[in-house]
Amino acid sequence: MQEFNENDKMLHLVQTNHNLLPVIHRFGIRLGFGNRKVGELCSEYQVNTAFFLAIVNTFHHKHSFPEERLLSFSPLLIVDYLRKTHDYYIHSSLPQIEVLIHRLLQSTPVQNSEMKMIGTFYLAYKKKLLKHIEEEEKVVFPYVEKLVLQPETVEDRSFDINFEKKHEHVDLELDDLKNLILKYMVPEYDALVCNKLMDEIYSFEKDIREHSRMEDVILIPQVVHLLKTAK
Amino acid sequence: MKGRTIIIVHPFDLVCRGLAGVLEELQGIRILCFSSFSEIKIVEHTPAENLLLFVPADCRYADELLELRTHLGEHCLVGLTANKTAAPHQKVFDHVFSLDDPASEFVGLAESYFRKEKTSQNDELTNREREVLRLIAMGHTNKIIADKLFISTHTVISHRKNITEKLGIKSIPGLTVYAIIQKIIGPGEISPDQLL
Repeated sequence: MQEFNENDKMLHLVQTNHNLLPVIHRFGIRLGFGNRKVGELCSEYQVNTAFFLAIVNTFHHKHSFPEERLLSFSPLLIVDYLRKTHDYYIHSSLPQIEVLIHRLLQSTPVQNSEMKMIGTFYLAYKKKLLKHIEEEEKVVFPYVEKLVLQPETVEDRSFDINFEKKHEHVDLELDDLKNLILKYMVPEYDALVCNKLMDEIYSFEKDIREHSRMEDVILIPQVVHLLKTAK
Repeated sequence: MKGRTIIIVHPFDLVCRGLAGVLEELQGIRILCFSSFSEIKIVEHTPAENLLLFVPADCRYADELLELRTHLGEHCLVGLTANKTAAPHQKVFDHVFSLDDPASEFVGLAESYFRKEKTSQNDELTNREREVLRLIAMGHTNKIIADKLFISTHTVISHRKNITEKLGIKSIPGLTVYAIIQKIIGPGEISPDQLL
């Protein structure tokens, strides 16, 4: 499979797949690439090149997930990356979707006030997702970091590996949101707003699916392994 | 993520990507590609309700294929051959396809395999299902719904399954919103924490 490597120009990545731009930004790498290569820009921004490439390649080839390669990276890198994706959801995807849903519903006739429930549904979904994210940031991630950096100080060995199963319910609701809009929307609405909203929801869905996979298939097995090997 | 998954194992990248590309036209199915059997342990992490696997029907992989077959249970295993005449280990496969078969046959197989679970193309709810949905939206448990409608909990569960399949909506908050949009229940009739 053709994979991006450190000698590719960064520009080439974005020109091949513009959906990679948010991922590149997530690593703190900014535009103004010029003709610089991936390796050059990564070292300039102090980003681990191999890890960066593993992530962009996973995003680009949606049918492949380099499990073994990802497992070989330090859990600290994984946690750091997961935090950055959380930031992106909190400050970009979620507010964006909220604004677009609001605008979409405002464009529907007043007499269809029941449609407003879609907005209420989204807000409830968002609240649940944010709670899940907060639990990860406050409990899971610090636990993992402690396990790597100071394993001797970790007293609680009973890490709940089923914790991440919770996001399955949340994923289900995102799917329901799509169906409620696509199948049961009243026909009078602003089509441009709707297109933008669906674009945003689909790309958020893809992003969060990769994110969940990172947690389930990479981070959690790493924690289990650390717990086994630590004294 | 639960759902329908297609796994393609083949040493040739071109075969993996070509087949994935062809099958992509089926919506709502996750497709994963692997170049060798050793990578496929990802399956353990993928609690798929419905799994369709395409693997090379090649006697070099006899051991791996047998092992896979025993692990797969009722999931569907499809062997890929270079041409129809040379198809060893037929017994482990549910189907054997040749790489010179038309693309539409691959799509047709996947489509009919995944369609088995769908009972209805019609999303119109019956009166009884509307009643059950109304009670779900009010936050009642299966037991209470059963008592109110003088039916068994088993019947309630089967109504719920049909409702979810017809509407494509799976969560309770989602069903509640649907019931309000369709005026099956008024917004004032649900408890405020029903969406949480």
